[in-house]
Amino acid sequence: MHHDSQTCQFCNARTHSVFNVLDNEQVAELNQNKSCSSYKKGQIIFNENAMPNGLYCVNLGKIKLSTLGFDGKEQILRLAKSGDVLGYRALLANERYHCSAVALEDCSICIIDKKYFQQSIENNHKLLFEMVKKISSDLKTAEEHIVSLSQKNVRERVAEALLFLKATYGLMDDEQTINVSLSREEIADYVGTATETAIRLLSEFNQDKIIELSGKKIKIINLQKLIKTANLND
Amino acid sequence: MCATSSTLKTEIQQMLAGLYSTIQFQFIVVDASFVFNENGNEKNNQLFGAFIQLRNEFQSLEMYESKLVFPSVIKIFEQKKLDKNKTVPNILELLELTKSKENKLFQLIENIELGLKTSDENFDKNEIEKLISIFKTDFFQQKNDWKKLVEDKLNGCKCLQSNELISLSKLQTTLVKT
Repeated sequence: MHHDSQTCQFCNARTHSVFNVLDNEQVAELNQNKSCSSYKKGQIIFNENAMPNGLYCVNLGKIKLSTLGFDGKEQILRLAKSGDVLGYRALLANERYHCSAVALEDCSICIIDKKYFQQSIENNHKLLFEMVKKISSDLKTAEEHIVSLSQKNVRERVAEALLFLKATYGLMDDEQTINVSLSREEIADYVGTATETAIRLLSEFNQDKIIELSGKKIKIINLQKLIKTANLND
Repeated sequence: MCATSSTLKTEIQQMLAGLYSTIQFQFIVVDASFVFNENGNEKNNQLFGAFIQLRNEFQSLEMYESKLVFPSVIKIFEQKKLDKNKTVPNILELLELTKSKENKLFQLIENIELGLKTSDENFDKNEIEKLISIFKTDFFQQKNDWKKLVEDKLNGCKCLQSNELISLSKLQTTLVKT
């Protein structure tokens, strides 16, 4: 017997989505309140600043959620895959989308009616709790992303601190070692970060063969890479 | 003491006490204006992110200048005799690094100006526009003047023409550039 994967009762994606807590009756109801569409690779699913009509549930394929920064460059916020729901933030806050969703490959996506979804989470505590779990998980991912962005910035700062120290104190006779001995605390002060972070990043530079560490002495073994890391070559 | 080093010291003190303090104060005012404008708008959040980047970048520049660049410039003009055991600060290289950081600041200012165009229409833009104006009309101009002054002094300070430190500093720069 053939079961249509776009029917909620037989949808594999639903079983690992927020809708996995619904009973048979509720699943049948969900099926009545959704419609499915196919999207080609590169096709826009929803546009930034549009008002949401419903909740998108990914049946098959991968989707990119992105926005444009001030400089006009695209910033990818996150990726979505089979079983993920999209557009819930705008839907729950009753706001416009703050990002666009674009299919990264051929996709099959269902849209669940806005009114039905809002009523469902009001009446079904299990579904509400699944949504809270989903939002919390996405928030954690977003916070990790923020940390990784700020770490990238600190990496730049460590590199530029080394360039400023080189220009100020010069190099020793080997023409590679910075002619000053600074503790890790002092370097962290220049960078404006915690000592632990400075230690970790110096160690990363050491592993990346940009510098060599020998006690308090720092030897620059790849100056071009250091300049590139500092992002100061404008 | 060489008159040049005295002039430069005065310039540095005026810049730190005047221009830099004004900018630091305006950062506090803008920070507070974001708190009062808080409404969770996504574009305002992006604008706040760009503002924080600008503040961090400026504070980083100020730290390098006050701890390394300014003392190095003064040192070059004050030290009459070359100490063979000590290396000489490479002033022009320091000025180039400083310029690169100022370019970053300029780019961030441009981004904030663009961001203001798309921000929430209820957002009070006065204080952030004032900050942009301080950077655009005062900061970049005064920093260019400062750089020119240092370069002129390096080339033209008569009482230090024979100073080996100055010669060596210029030589180092030539080597770096070539």
